[in-house]
Amino acid sequence: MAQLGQFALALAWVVTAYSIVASLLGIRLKHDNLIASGRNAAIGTFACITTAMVCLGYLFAVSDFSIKYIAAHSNRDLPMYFKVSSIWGGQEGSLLFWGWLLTLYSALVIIQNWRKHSAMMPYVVAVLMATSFFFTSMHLFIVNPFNQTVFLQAGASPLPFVPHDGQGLNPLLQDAYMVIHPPMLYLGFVGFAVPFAFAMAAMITKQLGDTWIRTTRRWTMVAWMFLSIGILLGGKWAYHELGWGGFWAWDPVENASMMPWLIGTAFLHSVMVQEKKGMLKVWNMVLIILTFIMSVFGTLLTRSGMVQSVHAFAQSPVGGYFRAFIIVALSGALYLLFDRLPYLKSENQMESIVSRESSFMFNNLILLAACFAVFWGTMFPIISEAATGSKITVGPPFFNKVNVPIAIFLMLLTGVGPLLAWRRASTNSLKRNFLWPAVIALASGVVLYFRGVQHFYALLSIVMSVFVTATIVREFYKGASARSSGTGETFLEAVVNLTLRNTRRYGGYIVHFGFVLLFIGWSGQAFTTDAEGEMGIGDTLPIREYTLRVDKLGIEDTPNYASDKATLSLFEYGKKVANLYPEKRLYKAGQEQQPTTEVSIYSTAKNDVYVVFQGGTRDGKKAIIQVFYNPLTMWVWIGGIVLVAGTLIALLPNKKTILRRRPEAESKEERKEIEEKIS
Amino acid sequence: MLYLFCGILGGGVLAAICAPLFRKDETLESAIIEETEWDLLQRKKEVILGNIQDLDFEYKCGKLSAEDYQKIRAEMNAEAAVVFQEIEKLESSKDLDALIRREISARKERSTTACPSCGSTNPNTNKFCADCGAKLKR
Repeated sequence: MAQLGQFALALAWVVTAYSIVASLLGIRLKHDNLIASGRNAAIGTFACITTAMVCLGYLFAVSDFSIKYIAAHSNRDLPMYFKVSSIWGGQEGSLLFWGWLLTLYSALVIIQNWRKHSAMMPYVVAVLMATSFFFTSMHLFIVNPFNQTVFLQAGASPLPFVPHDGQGLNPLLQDAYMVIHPPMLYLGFVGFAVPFAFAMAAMITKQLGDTWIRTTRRWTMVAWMFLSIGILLGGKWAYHELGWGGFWAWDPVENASMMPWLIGTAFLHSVMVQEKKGMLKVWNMVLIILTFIMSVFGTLLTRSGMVQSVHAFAQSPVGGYFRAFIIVALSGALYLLFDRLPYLKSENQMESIVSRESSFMFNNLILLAACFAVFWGTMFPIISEAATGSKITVGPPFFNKVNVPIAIFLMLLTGVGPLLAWRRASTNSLKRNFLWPAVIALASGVVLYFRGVQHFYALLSIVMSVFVTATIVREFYKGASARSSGTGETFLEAVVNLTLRNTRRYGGYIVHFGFVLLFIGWSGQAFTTDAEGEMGIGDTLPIREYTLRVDKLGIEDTPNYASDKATLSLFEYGKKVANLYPEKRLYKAGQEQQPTTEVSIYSTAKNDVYVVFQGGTRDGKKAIIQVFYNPLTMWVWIGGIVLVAGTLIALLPNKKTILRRRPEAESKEERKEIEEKIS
Repeated sequence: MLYLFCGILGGGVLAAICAPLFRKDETLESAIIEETEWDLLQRKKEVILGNIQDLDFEYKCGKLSAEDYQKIRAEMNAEAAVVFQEIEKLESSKDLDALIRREISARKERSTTACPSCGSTNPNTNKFCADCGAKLKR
């Protein structure tokens, strides 16, 4: 199987190179058969990398430790689902996974768009395959997952060697969230290659209207949605697995996923201005180039060990190659952009600072500022080392200080933007749109202040959340009322039909509401408290309205790990509400046993009680238990679900698009009606 | 077994790559012009009509004052009128002929084969050169 995998990688490398050459040569020679051959080669690359992935999965499933990657990332007693997820548990496999997703996206995009955008597609294929060529080269020559395990001896050539058992998968990765977090994140990272490829193709072919944006709109949303899911699952994993009580620590690798997400979010908003008004064409190009580059940069940060992080398990020497790829891709894209500037002129002007388009522009600037702050903080150790010779790491206080006000301002814009009209809004219009949401938000602020919420930023963010919620409810209410008065539909029918007729707008509002919930959950972190105690059986530990009592302390032994485990009862105002089982595990695989913390969480809409088994006392009679009281955390995850639901709605085609498929005569009549209306 | 799998993968991919090269008349997809002037104007028209519909709906929802609505609506109507005029102008017979001629010449430019013998250009559909009768390569 390993040989088949090697063969598939080698074939993929040749076929990818052929696809680039055939596509470009075909265009130059105007030879359509060659272009079609290049297209088929791109789909062939997908077949090759898929074969390599299947081979790697099979080798993990049968625990073939003659392969170095398998021996380093698996062991015989690892459960099967972790064996499969080990494919992306280390450097070689995760890059292969990246490359496979890229070929998957490429094949789907080609199948979907070949006939619709035939002039652009050969260039799209060339750009996607050029990216793929970089990855297949990495798979084949630098981080080959099918290399043999060898025994190194001084002064002699390495001998093939099959260890009795593998080193095991990093215990931190033996978590259900870690099975799906990397695929989601990578689906997001890789997905941005599609709009990037179309943007490049649009510039090369000089088709710089909004065709490329309309074509890739859904692909961008899909990538953004997966990236959002990936980030949230990463947070959930950190919350469950790392045992420090929170879900976001501004770790460099968390930041690596945040940067393309921030710019991607800016891009999703600013494309609307180009579609509606033919403006921000250069800006959109810059944003999509940056989003793609940041996605590759994110992979570089995760995979190179450039900066210290919880992902230190992914260190390797791929950094130089990634840096070279980023420089080449960025230079090529920027050269093309400067060369095509005359074709990217705005069709309209910004008419007023108080307008929908200017609110999008502000939102873009804020998101970019946030991205820059995250980039600066993440790269500061490297920058400081280059400038002063000593590595200075900036921690969460820096990121929070900069990003909290930015996030609150962004939240304000989330509420303000949708209420402003395109072109310009008069004071009269502003008053009628903002009066009630502002009154409700301020009133809630006053009530919360007098009920004890006096943390400035937390109060401000809750006030903003209320404001945004009020604007969203108002949008749905006014829209459904207008619709039901015109059509006679019930209010509920009107809400559903309103959403289905403009999925992008109303799906977008639901995404905004998801953010509100996320924001509320995040604000709750300002009120986290914790307590710690050495506890024997029967001992209690109070925290706010809860009390923990130790019922049992024991040891559990499985083939994969041994653990110290506590059984605790949780009481709320004296009434038992749950049993909790925090553990300290010691994984057996590998030369050094690796400890991990398995937290136990009692989660309600109001708060989480998060219990960590820190270890035993020296005499072994007591357990050191730490407990965190985390208010509102559940809303972060609920917000994430709402955000995904909103994106899925926004991905649906508008109902009127379906209506257009009715007999031609009827739809012609509809068009005529609209045209008469405007005359 | 290994060779069989390698053969299936390699053979399959090779067949997929080579098939278009031996096909006689792969549709000239690259010759299709995606964005003619007419297409761009139609797109512009769609956008303006969409913007007008949005504006009307937002007014109905009470998001704009009557004064704002009337002003912006008048501007949009004027923009729509300009685009409609341009489309009409282009669709008038004379300009339509010019448009068709432009499209045909652009397609021709991409769909011709040079004669290996005398160098003259021939449509891709010809098997022999119209000037010297030599067999044309595909």
